[in-house]
Formats: sequence, C-alpha cells, structure tokens
Amino acid sequence: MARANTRPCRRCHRDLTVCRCGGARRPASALPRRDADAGDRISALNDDLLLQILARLGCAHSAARTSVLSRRWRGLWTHLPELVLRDMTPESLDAVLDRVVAMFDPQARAHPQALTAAAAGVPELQTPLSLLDICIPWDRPLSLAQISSLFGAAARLQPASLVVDVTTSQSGAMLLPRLDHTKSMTLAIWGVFHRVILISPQDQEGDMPNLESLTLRRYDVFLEALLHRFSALRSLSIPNLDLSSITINLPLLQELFLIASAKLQRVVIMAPKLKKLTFHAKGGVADDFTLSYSAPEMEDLSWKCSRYGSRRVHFGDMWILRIVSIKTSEPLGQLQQNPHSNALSLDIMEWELEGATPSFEHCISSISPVANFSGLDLCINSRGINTRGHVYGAMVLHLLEVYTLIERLKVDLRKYKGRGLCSTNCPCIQLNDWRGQTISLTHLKEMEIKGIRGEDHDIDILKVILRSAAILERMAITFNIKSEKRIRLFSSKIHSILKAHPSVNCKIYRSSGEQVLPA
Amino acid sequence: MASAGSGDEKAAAAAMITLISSDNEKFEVTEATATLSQTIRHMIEDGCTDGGVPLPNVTSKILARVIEYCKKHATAAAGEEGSSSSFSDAAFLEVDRAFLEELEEFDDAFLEVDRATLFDLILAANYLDIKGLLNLTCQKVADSVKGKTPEQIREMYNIVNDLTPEEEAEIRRETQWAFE
Repeated sequence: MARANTRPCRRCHRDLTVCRCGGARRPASALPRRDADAGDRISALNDDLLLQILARLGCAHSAARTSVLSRRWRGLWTHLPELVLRDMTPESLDAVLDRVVAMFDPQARAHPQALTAAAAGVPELQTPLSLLDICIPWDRPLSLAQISSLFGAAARLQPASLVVDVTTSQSGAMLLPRLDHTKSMTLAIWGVFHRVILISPQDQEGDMPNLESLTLRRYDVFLEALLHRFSALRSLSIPNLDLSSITINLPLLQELFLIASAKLQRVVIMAPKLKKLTFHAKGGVADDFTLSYSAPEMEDLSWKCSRYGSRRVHFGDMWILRIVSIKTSEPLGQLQQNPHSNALSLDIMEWELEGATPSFEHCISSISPVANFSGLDLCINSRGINTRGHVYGAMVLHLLEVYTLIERLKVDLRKYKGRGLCSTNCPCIQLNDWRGQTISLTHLKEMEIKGIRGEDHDIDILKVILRSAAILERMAITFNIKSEKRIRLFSSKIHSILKAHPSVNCKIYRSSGEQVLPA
Repeated sequence: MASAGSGDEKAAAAAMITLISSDNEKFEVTEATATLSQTIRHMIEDGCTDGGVPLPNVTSKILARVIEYCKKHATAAAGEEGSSSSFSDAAFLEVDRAFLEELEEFDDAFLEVDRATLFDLILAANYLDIKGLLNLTCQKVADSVKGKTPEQIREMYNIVNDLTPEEEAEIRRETQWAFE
C-alpha cells in the first residue's frame, strides 16, 4: 500500500491520495488570487468539514444557497447525509421536491458501488440518505396531492429515517408508499377539520420490512389498521392518543410509549416481547373501562392513570382516588425471587360524597396491568383550606387488608393538614374499628412515613402496623412539625412502643432531614 | 493534596501526558484532559505516548487554546460521572444546572476569536478528533452564515467567485427554490 506521493494536501492537510478538497487538483499558482490560501480559509476546509458546517445551517434551503458562492461550493450540499426541509410553502413544495430529489440522485445513493464503476470524473461516493425530515407549519396546510408527492419523494430517496410533520387542507385516503430501507419513521398529519387516511399497499408481506421504530404524533383508527402491518416494529410511540380505545398487537415490540389525552374505554396490549412500557391515561378512564394486557417479558413498567375520572370512586364517603400509578421497583435484596416486582402508588384526597360507590381495590384492579405489588406508596392530601381533616387510619388499614403481600410501605402525609373538626361520631373514626384491628402483613420489611404530625391517631396507626408486621426491619419517620416539645414528646412515644418490637430499626427525622436522636 | 504520600504523587505524575506543538513547544496535561481527543486517547491505548505526543499540524498558539477547552470540559465530564453515582437530589441538579450554565458561558467566551483562529481551531479539533470542540466551532461558522446573501458570505470569508456569469446563472436557476 506504500504510495510514492505521501505529501499532504496544502489545503486540508490530508494525504493527497484521499484529498477531496480540490487543493490537489489545482496548483496554487492557478488560484484566482495569490493569497487565496491565507484569505479564503473556509473554502480551504475539506469536504467533510464543510458538510459539517452545512449540516448545522439547519435546513436544505440555506445549504443549497451556498452553491452559488463559487465552484468549490457548487452542489456540495447534495452530499449532506441528512436532508432537512423547513422553509417550504404549499406553492413551492412540488418544485422543491423535484429539484431536491434530482440533486440527491437516489439511484446513486441506493447503489454506491454502481457509482464507483463510473467514478472517473466523480470524486465522491454518495452515502445513503440517513434522514429526510420535512416539517411545514400548520398555517401552511397541504392538499392531498401535495402530501402524496411528499411521500413519493420519500419513496424515491429511501431515507433510513423519515420525519413528516404537516397539516392537511383536505380529507381523503392516500397510499403510503413502500419504504423498504426505512428503519425509523415519525408521522404527524394534522388537520382540525380534515383527516388523511393512510392506506398500505396490498402486499402479502409486511409493508415495511425494516421499520423498527415508529412515532405517531397524530393517531386515528386508520393508522391503527396500518400499524399492524408493520410487523417488524421494535419501538412504538404514541404521544397523544385522542381516541377512547386502542389495540396494540405486535409480536416483536420491545418498547411502547403511550400517552392518552382522551378518556379511555378499552385498551388492548398484546406484546410477547415487550420489555419497557410507559403508559399514561392523562384523561382518565371511563367507568366501564376494560384492559387486556399480556406482556410476560416486561422489565420496566410505568403505568399511570390520572384524574381517576368519576369521583364516584371513594372510600367511606370521604376519600377519593385521584391518581393510580404502578412502577417497576428496584429489587429489595439480592435474594429477591422476582426481580421485576411492582410498586403501587395511590394519590388520595379528602372529598366528601354520598352514595354507593365502587371500592378502591375494585377500581385499581380494573385499570391495573398487574395484580401483585411488592410496594405500596400512599400520598394523602387534604382538600384545601376549609379542610374537615378526617382521620386516615381506617382508609389506610383497609388498603393494607387488600395488599397484604407488600414488602415496602410508604405513606406521604406532607399534604395532609392533620385532624380537623369532624365529630367524634364521624365515620372516619368509627369505620371498621380500625384501632383494634390486626392485619397479617407477613412480608412487610420497610416502612417510611413522611410528614407525620404526631397526633394521637398517627400513633394509633403506627401501633396497628407494628403489631401486624412481624418481620418489619426498618422504619423511617419524618416530622412535619417544628415545635421541639412536640417532636420530643412524639419521639419518646414511638420509642416506648418500639420496646415491644426490638427487631425494628427505627430512625426519626426532622422536616429538615436532620435525625432526632433518642433522649 | 501536597500532603499526600509519594505513591499518590507518582500516580499523578504517571497520568500526565506531554503534547508537542508544531513549533516544538511542550505542554504537560493530565490524561483526563488529553483523552478528550480521541486521536490522543488511541495513542495512549496503544502505549505510544512516551517521550511526548508530537502534533505537527497544531501550532503552540492553537494548542494552548485547545488545551484550555479540554481542561474545562474534562472537569465537566468528571463532574457528570461524580453526580451520577450520587442521589439525583434537587441540590445536585441545581449544582449541575449552574455548572452547565457556566460551561455555556465558557464556550461563548472561548469562541470570541478572530476568523483565522476559528478555522485553525476547526482543523485542530478535526485532526485531534475532539467532538465537542468541532461541533462548537462548526456551529459558530454556520451561525455566521445563516440568513446572509451569497454576496455577504463571499465578502465575510474572502471567497472568490470563480464561476463564469453563465455558470452562476445556471446555478441560480437550479437553486431558485432555495432563494424563494
């Protein structure tokens, strides 16, 4: 491989045999100006570096305009690996696409080796287009024909990644062309009064054999039909589902990101290879919500249902469920049998309502993709300034009776303002005789209570839990009170209760995080 | 640090690398700083840095600037590693944010150089394969070109228009869409 000529190019400092900057082709004396080397530093950069600069202009229009600077710059932009089209108008669209597709010479890009054969006069090899990114703002809507020609351009360019974000001014159906080389696609065809239906070509095999990653910014039932033809999909993202139902049934899917803004009625997720799922029902779920879920290989689950819709879900006519979330938790110890255990988090708020209601646990089981939880996090909120301040003990114990297999319990009382002025006959006190209960919490090892105020009923529930959890190892309590006297009083009460539970390691903290040491 | 044992000192000395500019000036830098350059990282991995690393394409003036950049960004990288192992506490995030802001300010100030130096930095960043510096300097050039007419760009960068009027007219026709 030794070459006689190893002198570096004067311009780009590369070996002359690989120099593409043109410095080798023209001796300095032939340059228009003697001092061009010193003066025109930018044109002296090699092609790779100039393309790096062109790529950072952000769009093909700016890059193409540099063609007119000089011979050195002519057509350079057509070697960009990424084609980003931004400043297009519906009027200029066709002309731009025609030009750009012609300039980018898709035949040469698709078969680089074919170019080598005819490379005598052509110094560079075209690399395949890695990205075609077309984004036209909503105030410049496109006709069906224009959107169609846009996809036509994509089919001719066969980019590895395709991003299309446009708005339609017409409704109708349109054929989605075959994009055999496309691995990743992001689609958004917006329209307030209009909707474009993408139809797949009637091939027997999957339409896009290489499509692994798909983001559907705008989703509709027609896209859902199309979706199931992309059988190679590994990753799917639907950031704004505005339909009440969705069915995902993809054999190779590994990652799913699904955010629903509409109130959900029916969700089907059948994904044997799914490992990571992020689901958020931002608009809540309907009363008759149904869930079919099968993802046996799930490793990282994050499931959340906000605005747990109908306020009819409550407990004891005084607590309502606001947010239910489920998250895969870190394994507690090395010997944990199931490393992918899940924690259930409930956000509960005081809200007085009357009438028969479905129970918390019924609602949770109807919206939850998993049944067993190793952790339970409760966030208890007071309603506002005019809080009645109910006692939470009965409600918490009721939930503990349902989730008896938990290993960790966290109760966050920082937004709970304490016992208020409800009567001594109030159901919050009388309900299910909670102070006298014992629950069999056979797996509970860790407990954390944040924001406790040290009222009598706080002490009572601690007693019940300590009595119920035979293998409890660690307990951490953080105060939400400033008074040193009350902190001392409450700490000594806890320590005296703990005398009966010597195996429990208990740490008590001030709201500042500083530990309260036993007197 | 001065009170540390001789073993520590030896370890610190071992982690120093000597860089030699084209005009034969020597620069002592820590390995963490030097390895922001992939080119030097590979040399270290191949064990060929004894007696210093000659950099015949980089003058002492530019190398000093490059080292200044690498020093700053190497501490940033070390900071990131440190914070990822600790709790992602609000306090830590605050520190991270403040540090990132400081880094941005540093980068802005660093780019306050004349054009010749900017291009020397691009060539050095390319030769030494320092991704962050290459990105920063190329973006600076791109930003200066954005929104400018071809005439303005030619003037700004002393680009001589060697196109014949016919050629220029042809290119204008071909790229008319880009001028609309």
